[in-house]
Amino acid sequence: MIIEHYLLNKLHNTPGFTDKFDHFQASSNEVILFGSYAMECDTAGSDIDMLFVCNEKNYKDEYLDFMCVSEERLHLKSWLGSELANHIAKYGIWLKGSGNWKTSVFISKSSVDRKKIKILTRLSHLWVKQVNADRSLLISLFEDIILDSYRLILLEDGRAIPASAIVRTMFLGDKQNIFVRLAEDRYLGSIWREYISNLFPNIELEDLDKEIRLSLVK
Amino acid sequence: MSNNSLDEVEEKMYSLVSQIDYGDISDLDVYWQALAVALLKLEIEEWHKPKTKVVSEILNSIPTAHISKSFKERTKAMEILSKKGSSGSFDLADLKSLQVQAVRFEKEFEKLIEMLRGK
Repeated sequence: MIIEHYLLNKLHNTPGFTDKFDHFQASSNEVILFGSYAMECDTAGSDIDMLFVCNEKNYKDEYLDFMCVSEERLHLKSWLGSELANHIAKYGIWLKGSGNWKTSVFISKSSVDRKKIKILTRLSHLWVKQVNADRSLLISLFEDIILDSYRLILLEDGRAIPASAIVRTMFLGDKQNIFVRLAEDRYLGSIWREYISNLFPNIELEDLDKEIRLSLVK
Repeated sequence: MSNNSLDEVEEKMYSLVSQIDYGDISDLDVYWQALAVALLKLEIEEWHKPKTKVVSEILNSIPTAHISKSFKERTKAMEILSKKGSSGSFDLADLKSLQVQAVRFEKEFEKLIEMLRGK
């Protein structure tokens, strides 16, 4: 309870938080803080991520990202198998309610598939726009693709995804070559190899892995 | 009834509902068709499989009292809304409506799967 009290005091300093929080929490059975604030890796630009179990509409502004899930949906497998439900169940801090559902979460195949589609969509945008003409721009745009790809690896291994800053640290601490790893069939397979050879012609995967890591450290 | 076939139907149904919940409605037809193909793999006594890949028509043809009229109507309504999504004439109200219906659809579909599993 001390942590929850400390966090709430910290959040009340955020512009607009108190009014919105009071409104949403009054109609909610559960209130959960998640994301960077819950994992204590928030920065000045971080927004406050919260899940409210209620029938309200989502709310988002510069500082707040309030999501609402109905009680009815909370126990369905399409929710329990989602990336978000798994993140919240593992890293969320309950400010209200018991969270009985959190022991029922699992990483569904559709969550893994959605992550693959997201990565491939971004790669296809880079390919169509021929961003590879500008190498430094390509590497910078590739940072997010690599972090999302690392999320895919975690999901495929059945692990909940932590806040973005933690994903970055985990990736940098994991010395396996991600470009080689993603070409395994259980991740993206031959389509990944095709995109990489097209976007980065004549570059060794070893060098590419080093380059992206250096870019992420900066 | 093969559990593998039912598992596949279940997985395709969750994929469809998750896609709707996520708000990614541009390719819903892929998810509906995958569910239809999985449903047509089921072996159900006295079921004459229809020559269609439309989920609502497949559900209509399954000889069981456990598929309610409202479930069939909801499925049909969702298919119609989904088509709007791929044609680009879809607005936020349509998405909200589809998402609300998808929650009910999942609950009703789970009941059907449990019934077919013989629970």
